[in-house]
Amino acid sequence: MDIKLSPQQRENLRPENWQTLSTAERLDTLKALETSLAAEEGRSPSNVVALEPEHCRSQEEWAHTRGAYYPGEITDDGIRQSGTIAVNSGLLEDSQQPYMATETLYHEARHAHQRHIADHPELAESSEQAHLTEMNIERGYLTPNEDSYELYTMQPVERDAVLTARERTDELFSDQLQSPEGYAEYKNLREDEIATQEARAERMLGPKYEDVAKETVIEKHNMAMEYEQLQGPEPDRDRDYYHGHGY
Amino acid sequence: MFVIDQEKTRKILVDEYGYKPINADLFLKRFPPIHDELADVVATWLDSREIQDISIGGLALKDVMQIQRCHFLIAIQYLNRLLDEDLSPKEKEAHIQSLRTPPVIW
Repeated sequence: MDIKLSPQQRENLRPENWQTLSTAERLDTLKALETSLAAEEGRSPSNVVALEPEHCRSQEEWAHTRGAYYPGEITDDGIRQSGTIAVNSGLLEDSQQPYMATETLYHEARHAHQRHIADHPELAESSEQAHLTEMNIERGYLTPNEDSYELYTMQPVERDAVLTARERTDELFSDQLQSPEGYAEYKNLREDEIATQEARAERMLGPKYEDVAKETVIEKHNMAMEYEQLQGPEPDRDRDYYHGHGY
Repeated sequence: MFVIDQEKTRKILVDEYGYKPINADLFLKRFPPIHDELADVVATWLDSREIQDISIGGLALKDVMQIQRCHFLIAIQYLNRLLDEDLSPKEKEAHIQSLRTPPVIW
């Protein structure tokens, strides 16, 4: 995907320029990235804000939360309001490199895309993809605190966000910006992190960990549907679906 | 092997841990039999919610709960896995290492 950033916005993502930007200017750069991405995907851009410690339940939780996506509410006339992407403020304050902040933006923007696909299934690559996405985010979202970290990371919407963000980050920095200083090391670190998560999931869920997570999502969704048919919709159903907080 | 009392555990998860009933059912459906080394710890927790000190492979249960930011029953599953014979020593070491690393969410 060719993201249309202005030359200045693109240059801002080089480490030597990122280092000279204020935190607010770095956030503006990520906002421009989200605006371009949303235009490419035909959806409204999400608001992009900094995730501060007071937004999390503890300093510890904040320190290990890279970002979050909050879908907008649906208004009385049936239109979904813009969602919000939050990027950990520590990543914005990191003056050395823009890589993790950018990959986090791509990750959360993918969740915005998934929400858009669930609302507009006709835009999905396949009806199966649209259905699975809808099941995952509407009733079948798996959280690290109630299900397990392995199921959380390997459920379809999180797996898709991780892999898509990695691919887009690599496309931007390796291809378009021709591997700025420190990017190769960052890429190795991220690839190791993903491989470690996969190995962890394999130990806990078995070699077909993605299938196990997918089946659990479908089961959770179907159980919730059956429950709703008996009891009526749960008022706080959306509470499960806020990425990055999961608690 | 110790098989957890599903009904009793379900009530704890719903009443004390805030699980929705269907989420508790889903969690318990996946809950494995527990190795004898951990049976007393689980039985004590079921009775009183007291968390006893126990370590497997040099990894303390309370440390797992704190580092992984997870509740007792999830941490027990992590330690229980270390007792499974199908994990090689190398995989056990990797498992211990991953449990000593705080999980990242986004």
